Amino acid sequence: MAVRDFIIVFFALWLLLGAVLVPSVSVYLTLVLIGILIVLELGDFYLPNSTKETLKYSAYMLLIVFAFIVARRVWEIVG
Amino acid sequence: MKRWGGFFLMGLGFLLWYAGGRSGNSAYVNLGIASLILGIVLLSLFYDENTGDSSPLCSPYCDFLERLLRDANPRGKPVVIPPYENLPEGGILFPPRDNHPIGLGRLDRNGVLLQDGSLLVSPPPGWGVVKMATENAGDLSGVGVGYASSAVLAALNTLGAGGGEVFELEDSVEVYVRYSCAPSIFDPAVGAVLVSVALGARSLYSVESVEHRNDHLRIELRPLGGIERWL
Repeated sequence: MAVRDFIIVFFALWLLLGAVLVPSVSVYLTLVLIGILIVLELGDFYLPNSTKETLKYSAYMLLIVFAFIVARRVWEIVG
Repeated sequence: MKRWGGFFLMGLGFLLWYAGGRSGNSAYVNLGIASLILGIVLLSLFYDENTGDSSPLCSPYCDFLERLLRDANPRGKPVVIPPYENLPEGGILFPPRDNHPIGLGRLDRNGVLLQDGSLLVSPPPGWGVVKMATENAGDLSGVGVGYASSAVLAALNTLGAGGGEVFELEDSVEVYVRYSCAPSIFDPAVGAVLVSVALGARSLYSVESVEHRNDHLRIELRPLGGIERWL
């Protein structure tokens, strides 16, 4: 099995196990963001450019979601 | 297969997300998001396989040089030459046999098929990338293999091509580089990284081995000494 396939399998396991084990959607989205960043770092050399681009855009979107989650949490604490 | 798998996972993802939202079950929503992201990743892999190395701009160039090399049939190991007075853009020399005297003083920009049976490719493939890296990072001559190759790899990254790593070992240099057109040292990305190694060390390098692994090449280089030694 090629390194690229190992990385994709790792990512799939990360996503699926996280989906089952994490009870909250907001925490899961953060976990997905971490997973994508790990995969981008590990797979910088092995993943094709189109996949890296897709993952990068997903990470940008999840960063915005993460910012909303943090802002809501801060709002809850302050409020 | 990957395309339909990708669409299936995306469809399943939307369904699970919807079902999770309706029933208030967060595990379904999470699985829906996971399925959606995996579907997108699978689709991107399919897209890459179908557009990967079919760039109409660069393939004929690589093919032409491969055919030229086959016809000229030099049997020596290729030698990467850094830029110097006679060849200000460096080059890749294919000597007629191993241990053939290189004689940098005889080379110039005008020759391709040389009298002694060597084949000289100058400017080397990917020279434009090295020039771009030089404009961004300054003169790369003699700055060290690590710095020069990093500058060129960064330039390749900016162009959305190539990618790789260079390892300096005790008596050799190992280059791992993702080719952009063809698995050959005539590929622009591969050529640019090879010249950057020679440029950074201001030394000639002999290409000892080239291995094709997935979508990248592993190239082992052996230093042959500085330009002065071969003049």
